[in-house]
Order: sequence, then structure tokens, then C-alpha cells
Amino acid sequence: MELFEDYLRRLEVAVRHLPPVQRRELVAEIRDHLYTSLAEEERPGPAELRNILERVGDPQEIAEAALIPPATSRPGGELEEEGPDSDSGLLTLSLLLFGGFLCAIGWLVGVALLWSSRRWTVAEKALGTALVPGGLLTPFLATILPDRCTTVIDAGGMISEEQCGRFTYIPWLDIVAISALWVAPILAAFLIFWRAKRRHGNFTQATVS
Amino acid sequence: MEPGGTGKALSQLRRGVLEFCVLALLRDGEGYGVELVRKLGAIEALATSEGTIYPLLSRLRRQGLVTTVWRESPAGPPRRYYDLTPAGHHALGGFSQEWAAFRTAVDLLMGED
Repeated sequence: MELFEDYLRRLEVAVRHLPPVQRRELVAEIRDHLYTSLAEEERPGPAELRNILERVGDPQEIAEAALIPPATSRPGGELEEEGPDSDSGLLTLSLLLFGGFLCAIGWLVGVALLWSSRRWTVAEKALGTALVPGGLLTPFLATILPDRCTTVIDAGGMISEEQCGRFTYIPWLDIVAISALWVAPILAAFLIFWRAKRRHGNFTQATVS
Repeated sequence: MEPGGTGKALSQLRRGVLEFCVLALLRDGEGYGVELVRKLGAIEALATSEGTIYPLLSRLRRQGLVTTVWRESPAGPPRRYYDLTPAGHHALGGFSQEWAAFRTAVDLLMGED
């Protein structure tokens, strides 16, 4: 039913800020409801379609209902899984960046926290892991490691020059590579932090009635 | 109180109470999902649409207050049924008592001219 599919598209847009699992579940349930209700109508027709949609209600209201903190939660009305835990977001990112210095285990813990959290999308998690494995420890090691050098011997068997570098023997490329290694994890951390903040900022706005 | 103050208070009250209304409908046994939301959506005073009850049901499930099962239906696709868990019964019982006291108190105050 085109009318239903249109509605479901609007619903998907309205609930895009929900955690992925909840979002999928809710849309699936509403879809199920729509088509089941239609099947139970004795004389299905365009009027029935509209009635069903009207009773189901405005997608925006449904999205807001999904964000309301539960009344039956722990005392103090703490947000449950809907609510982002801003503290652990910062902790995770700090571990990703600096955890490598804690005998590399810190970075691994950061990665575990990253992937287990609902705060970030899969793409953001992949970015946080790949840029850069080991966090800032990696560029740090790259910086303090001594150059590797190779000697170039010419046709006459004489040493013509010595070439040194961290990764390559081309000086400027080396500098670019090491700078990139420093910049990449910091950029990646900021990027995923900022995106999540922008996303979850909508949570707190919507719960204010 | 600011203009529109009562509207806001009422909507907050409704919101707080709605999940217990859902639990209450399941007090005597399991309920068919679609029928559940239909019943609640039809109550004018609750001012809630059918769609808004689904997220609520999800949350109650996540909190362990209700469970769901799918049952075969004679005429049509499988149907989802909801039922209270012991924790759900407990929460409902607790709210029932609080609500009775609250309602009595407010009624009394409202009744005084």
C-alpha cells in the first residue's frame, strides 16, 4: 500500500535518532500493525487506510514517545538504554587516543568500549579503530624511533650517500607520514565525538516537554 | 501558573501514568498487541495515538515488565501477544496503591469549593 509505505518512510525519518536496534524494531512493529489492521478490516478501501493511519498517529509523536524516560525505572528516573552516557563516551575516546601508553592494553579497552557502546554508528566505530591502531602511541613511537638508514653504493663501490628516514627514504614524505599519524587519530576522535554529540543533543531536547 | 500551564501538567501526568495503564490491561492475562494499542488509543482522556504505545511496550519489554510471544492465528499471520512478568505484576501493584492515595487526595482537594 503506497499510503502505508509513504507513512513508514516518514516514520523512518522521524526516528532516525534512535539507536539502530530500537529504530528497526519500532518501524517493523508499526509496519506489522498497519498491514495486520488492514487485513482485519471487513471492507478494506482507501478510507480504511486513512483511518488506520490516523489512529496510529503522527510519526513525530511516536518518535518522541520513544525518547521519554521510563516512569518504572530505578529511583531518580535515570534514563535507560535510550539515554547516552556522556561520561563513557569521553572515556572511550580518551582510551583510544592515549590508552596505548598504558602498555597498549588501554587502547584495546578503548576499542572494546567503542564497539560495545550504542552511542556510535558502525562506520564511526570502524573509523575510530582504523585511525589509528594504537592511538597516539603509534605516531609517538614513530617519532622517537631512530631513522633507518641505508647506504647507497655507486657503481665504483664507493659510498655515495646515506639515506635515512622513518618509513621512507624521501624526507618530505617521511614528515608527511608521521604528521598524518599524529593528526589522524586526533581528527578521528573529534569527528566521532562531535557527530555523536550532535546526534544525542536531540535526545535531551526532545525530552523537554 | 503560566498560560497553558494546565495543559503541560496534564500531558506530563498522562505520560507518567500511561505505562501503568498498559500494565493494567494485562493484569488478567495476556493481550494481543494490536488490540492492546487499539483499546488505549480509543480512550479519549488518555490522548494517546496507537503508534505511541509501541515504543512504550518495547521499553516495558526491555525492562523485564512484560514478555511477548508469537502465536499462530487461524486467519492470518502470527500474532504478537503480551503478558506481565512477576516484576510487571509487582510494579503494577505498587503503582495501584500509590495511585489510589494520590487520586483520593486530589479528588478531595478538587472537590472543595
